[in-house]
Amino acid sequence: MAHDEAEPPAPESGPDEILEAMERQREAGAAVPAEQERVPYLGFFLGPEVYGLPLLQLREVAHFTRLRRVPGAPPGVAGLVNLRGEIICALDVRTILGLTAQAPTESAILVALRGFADPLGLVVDSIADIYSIDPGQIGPPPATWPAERAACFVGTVRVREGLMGLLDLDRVVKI
Amino acid sequence: MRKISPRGRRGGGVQELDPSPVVALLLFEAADCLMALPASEVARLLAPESHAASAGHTGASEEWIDLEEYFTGRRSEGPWLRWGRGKRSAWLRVARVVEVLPCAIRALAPMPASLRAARGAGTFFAAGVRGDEVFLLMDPARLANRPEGLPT
Repeated sequence: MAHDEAEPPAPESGPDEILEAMERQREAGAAVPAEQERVPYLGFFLGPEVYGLPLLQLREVAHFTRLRRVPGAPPGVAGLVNLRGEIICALDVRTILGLTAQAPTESAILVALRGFADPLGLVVDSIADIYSIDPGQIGPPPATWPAERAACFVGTVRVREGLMGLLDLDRVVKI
Repeated sequence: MRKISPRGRRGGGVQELDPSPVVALLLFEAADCLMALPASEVARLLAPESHAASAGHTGASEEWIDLEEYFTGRRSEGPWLRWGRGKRSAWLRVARVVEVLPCAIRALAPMPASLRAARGAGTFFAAGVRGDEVFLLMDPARLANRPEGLPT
């Protein structure tokens, strides 16, 4: 093209150099996590704090109005919820994480989970956002967190709402 | 070519479309919960004041369990149900009898493992839905020993 003719490649930019440069670029690109390797997380609030769970383990998010408390249930079980005819065991994640107990409000939200033998859900205050997390950016839980609480997380990552604790759901549901 | 109707070879009615057995459940309230028993296991219903009058006519081994007190530590003033299964029986005090509800077995869900394992909640073996409300299906045979962790 006219443009190429006006500015021919520099003498050092022969085919070998170009191929080498392409190879270097490919290697550099391989070191950067591809977009597909990022893991999407659903962020939600418990009070002012933001927490996350892998989007792959999310079934649905729903408002619920009636929570059926079960006498004699462990403290980590908030109760049972009727979700369009299906009975979901709602976990009180706030209690499980050792946060200040608080009765679910009318605006509380059920985050129904997938991948467990029983239909399970988490009672959360509100939804924050969906975050695409680079696994390389996940750090350990703060040392100030109690060991029992820290054990419920795979790690933490900084998002615009603050430090987001990434839940290890397999640990959380073992109440 | 012979056609087979969606209802099956024998034709017929709704029961062939919905083969799940139906059980009649007696729904009642206790401990601020909606609970249920198989209606076939409930033989009698006594007014709240009938306990003292009836106690002399029942076997000495028969238990009288106030479900409100059992689960919350507070006494109830509601009616008594006589539950019986085989040779086992007990009188259960509830806050209020709600209704008898026909319920398809397939509409019931087993209690989640985390609740079955709990000694207190282990009294309930399944849950169902009445309108928007969830009810808990109770097995009174599991009430015999007062579980730890419940109010005294």
